[in-house]
Amino acid sequence: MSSRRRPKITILLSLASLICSLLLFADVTAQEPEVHLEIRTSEARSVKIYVPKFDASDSEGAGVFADRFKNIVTSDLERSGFFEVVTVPVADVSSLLQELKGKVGSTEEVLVEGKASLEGGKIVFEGRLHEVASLKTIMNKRYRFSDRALRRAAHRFSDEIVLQLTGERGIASTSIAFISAQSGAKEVCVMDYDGQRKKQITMEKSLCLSPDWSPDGLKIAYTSYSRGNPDLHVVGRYGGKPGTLSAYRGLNSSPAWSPSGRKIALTLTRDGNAEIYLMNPDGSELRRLTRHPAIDSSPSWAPNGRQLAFTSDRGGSPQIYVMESDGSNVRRLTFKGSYNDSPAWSPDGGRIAYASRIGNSFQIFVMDIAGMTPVQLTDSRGNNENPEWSPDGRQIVFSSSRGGERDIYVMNADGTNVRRLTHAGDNFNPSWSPRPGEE
Amino acid sequence: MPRRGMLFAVLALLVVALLVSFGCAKKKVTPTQELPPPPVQTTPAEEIEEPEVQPEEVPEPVQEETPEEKVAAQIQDVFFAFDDYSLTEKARNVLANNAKVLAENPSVKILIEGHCDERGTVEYNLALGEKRALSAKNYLVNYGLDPGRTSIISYGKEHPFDPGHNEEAWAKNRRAHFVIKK
Repeated sequence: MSSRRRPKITILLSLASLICSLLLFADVTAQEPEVHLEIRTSEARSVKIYVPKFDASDSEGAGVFADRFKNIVTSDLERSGFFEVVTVPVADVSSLLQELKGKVGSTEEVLVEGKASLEGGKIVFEGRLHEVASLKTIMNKRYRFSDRALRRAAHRFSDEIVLQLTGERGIASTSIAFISAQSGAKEVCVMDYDGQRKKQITMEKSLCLSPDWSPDGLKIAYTSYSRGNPDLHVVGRYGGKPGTLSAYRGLNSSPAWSPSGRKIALTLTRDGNAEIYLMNPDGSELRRLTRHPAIDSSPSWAPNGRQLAFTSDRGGSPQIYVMESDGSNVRRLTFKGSYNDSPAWSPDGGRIAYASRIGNSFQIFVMDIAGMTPVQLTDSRGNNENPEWSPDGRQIVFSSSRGGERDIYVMNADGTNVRRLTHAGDNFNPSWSPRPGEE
Repeated sequence: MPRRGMLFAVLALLVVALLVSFGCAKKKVTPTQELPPPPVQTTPAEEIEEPEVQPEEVPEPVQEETPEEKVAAQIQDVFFAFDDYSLTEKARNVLANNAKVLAENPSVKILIEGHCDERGTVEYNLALGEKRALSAKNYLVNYGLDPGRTSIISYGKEHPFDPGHNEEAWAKNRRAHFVIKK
């Protein structure tokens, strides 16, 4: 039912935002037809960002870097879902600012200025943010980096812009870990949040599953079959030699690092049945949380670290339950649908995303933490599975077999603006990293 | 035409002349003595016979089928319903036969792999696959099989036997698969 209602709501919201934007920006919309193509989220705030061509010092190489930098920043600002991004093909910032100031409306309008130069074999980028109405420079950043680190530097700058304008750092510097079968075996890979710079970080030459980031963003726990049993391994975010976290007979699966990083929740079948346990990140102090002959699996922490959502078929079919982190007070959240699985608690603590079976396909849903008001976010053929939230809670990454094999997709948390991130091989089990340097 | 007529006339005359002369000659011969015909000289015929081709099976040097090969030839997988790890009657019959084969070959160790179809999430299917493998193992153990001879592993939905996306493929993929341990 909710699936039928959703498109109507989306249309209404789009119409409303279209009317609003027409009323608010009637004077400029005619000149920038691309504006309305970029804005698809109903949550979009009315901050308008102008991105003119980035300047470069006389050396010719710098111009290429300035363009690349600008393209990445533009894409980041668009993906953030906060802004109307308007690219302008001129580089004369001062006259552009004057011109824009003359027709500024009630919308908050800013302009990004960038300049690249070469210094001792490195690129130096200087970026500024100007407020159009006051012509004040509200941010000034300078980065020095090698060609290889350009993407990282551009993402850093984008995140600073988002922080400056929204009070919360952006997510352009985050990464997504996932499993890819591109090498033949199924290995752990990491890519930028926009699908770029994909790197394989394990060489298990075996089946790996369910990567999960440590809250400091430095390590990834995952299940590996390389020793003939599904054990739990851990590897550095940039690869290296994996360590073993747990190797009990049977499944060591679905790891979930607690928000504090002091515990790992996981599924073990060492006692003959899939149960959820807690252990320290060094594997010590194993403690069993669930006691039921049915399957208990896929724990996901509440951001406060006090509850865990999980999947259990104790009621006869897989459904989503919640318990306290000591295993007490188990209660069922989902009652609609014959198969609900893969819970993911939102970073603000208020919602749980999950996968639900509709006929022979699976779709992503979001509900509140009382299990009420489930909203269907995807409606495609194949299986849409394994939702995970971006650290700012504004986007959801998931795997989908809508294109045949499984691939990684992201969408806004309201189901709009779906973008495909991977394109070759079997790619699944995404896990969104925390922001770098964030605990 | 007149020429041909002439030719016929000449030929006819010749024939008549020959007949007349032959008749005259015959009358002139006087038989003296009847001689017996000379004995016929016959060379005895060679008897040529096509030999019967009769290949005879040469018994191969006796090569014992290894217990592993015997078990591999007779043991069978069992299949399950969607999101289910209970054993159907058919599955129980297959397992009873597997137990018999294993009892006859007590040196063979087996690994039971649990598999699922592509529907459902990775983690849940891992647990479900293990339940399927365990169902099969428990049945064999109840049949008297030494539990130390069997181990189990679940691959969830990660190693489908049929990569298709339909019920026919799914039915093949929901299985407990028996592998002989080397």
